[in-house]
Amino acid sequence: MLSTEAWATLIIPTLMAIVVMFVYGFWDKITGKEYLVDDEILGYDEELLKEERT
Amino acid sequence: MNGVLVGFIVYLVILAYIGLWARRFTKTEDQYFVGGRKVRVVAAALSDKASDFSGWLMLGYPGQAFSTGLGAFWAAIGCLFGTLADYIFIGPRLRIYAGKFRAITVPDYLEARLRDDTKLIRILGAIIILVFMTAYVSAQFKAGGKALSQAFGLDVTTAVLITAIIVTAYVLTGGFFAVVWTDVIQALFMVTTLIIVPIVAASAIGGLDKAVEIMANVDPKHLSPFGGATGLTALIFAIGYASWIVGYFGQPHIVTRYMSVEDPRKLRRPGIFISGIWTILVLWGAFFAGFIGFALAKAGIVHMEDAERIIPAMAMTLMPSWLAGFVIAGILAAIMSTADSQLLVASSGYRGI
Repeated sequence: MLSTEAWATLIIPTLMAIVVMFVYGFWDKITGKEYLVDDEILGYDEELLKEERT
Repeated sequence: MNGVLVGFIVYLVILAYIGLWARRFTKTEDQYFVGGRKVRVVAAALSDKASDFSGWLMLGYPGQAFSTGLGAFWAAIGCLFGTLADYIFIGPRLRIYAGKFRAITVPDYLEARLRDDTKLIRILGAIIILVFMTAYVSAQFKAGGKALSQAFGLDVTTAVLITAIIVTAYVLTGGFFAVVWTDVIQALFMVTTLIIVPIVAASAIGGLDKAVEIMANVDPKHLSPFGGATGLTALIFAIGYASWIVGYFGQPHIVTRYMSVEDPRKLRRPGIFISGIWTILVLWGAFFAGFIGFALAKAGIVHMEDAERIIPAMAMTLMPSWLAGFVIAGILAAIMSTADSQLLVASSGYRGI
C-alpha cells in the first residue's frame, strides 16, 4: 500500500489547487468587485460580427 | 496495426473537417491570429492546455514517473500551479489590454502598453519569437515523427515530413479558429487517453497495491516523495521538479489564448475551472501511467527500450488494437496541439519585421 506520506504528496497539493481555483473563480462574488469591461475592451472584429449575423 | 491505422485516419478526417470549417471565419489578420477576440471560453481554455502540454505529457512525464517514481509528482505540482497562476496573474488582464489596444500578438501588446515608438520591442519580440518558436515547433515535428514512425514503421524523416504537412495544412487553411477547435478535440483525446491508460495498467498488474509491492521490492526509493533524499537535498529535489511553474508566464503560444477569448470575465469563471480540472486529470493520469508502468516492466509484462515509451508500449501490449490506435492518436494529439499553436505564433513574428 502507498504510505500516508505518499498519499499526502499526491492529495494535499491537488486539494490546495482546487481551493485556489474556487477562491479565484468566485473572487468577484466574495469581494463584490469584477473587471470593468466595455465594448472598447471587448474589441471584437467587425468583419467577424457581420459574418456571424449572416 | 489495422486498428491503429483506422484510429489515426479518423483523427485526420476530424482535423481536416475543422480546418475547412474554420476557413469561413478566417478572412482578416485579426481573425487569423486571435480569432477576432470572439473565441468561446471553453475552446480557449481547452486550447490553452492542449497547447501547453506537448509530447512531454504523453512521453516525457510518464518516463520521469517511470524512472524517478513518486518524486516526479513535484513536476505535476509545478505545472498545476503554473496553470492557475496564468489565469490569476495574466489571463483576464492581458485580454482586457489586448481588446483596448487591438493587439493581436504579444509584441503588439507590449509595444502599446509600454508606449514604445521606436519599434524596438516589436522587432526584438519578433526575433525572439521567430528564433525560439521555430526551434520549439521543430522539436514537436520531430516528436510527432518519432511517434508516427513507431506506430506505422515508417522512416523517421518521412514521418517528420508527414507531421509537418498535416499541421501546416490546417494552420494555413483555418488559422486561429482551426488551431483552437482542433486543440479542443486533441484535449479531449488526451484526457480520455490518460484516464484509460492508468486504469488498464492497474488492472493488468493486479491493482495499485500489487504495483507498490513490486516497487518496494525492486527500488524502495520509487515510493519516496523526494526520491530518497532528506533535509536540504529533499527541498532542492522538490523545487527542481516544481520549477516548471516559472516557464508558464512567458509562452506566447499559451497566452495568446487569453487574448482571443470572447470576454475576459469568463476566464475567471468558468475558464480557470476548465483548465484546472483538465490539468489535474491529465497530470494524475500521466503520473500513474509511468508509476504503475514501472511495476509492469519489472514484472516482465511490458517491454520497451526507453522509459519515455511506456505509454505506447502499454497500449500495444495490454489493449486491443482499436484502443491502442486511440492511445497513439492521443499521443499525436498532444504533439500536434502544441505544434500548431507554436507554428501560428512563429508565423506572427513576420509582423515585427
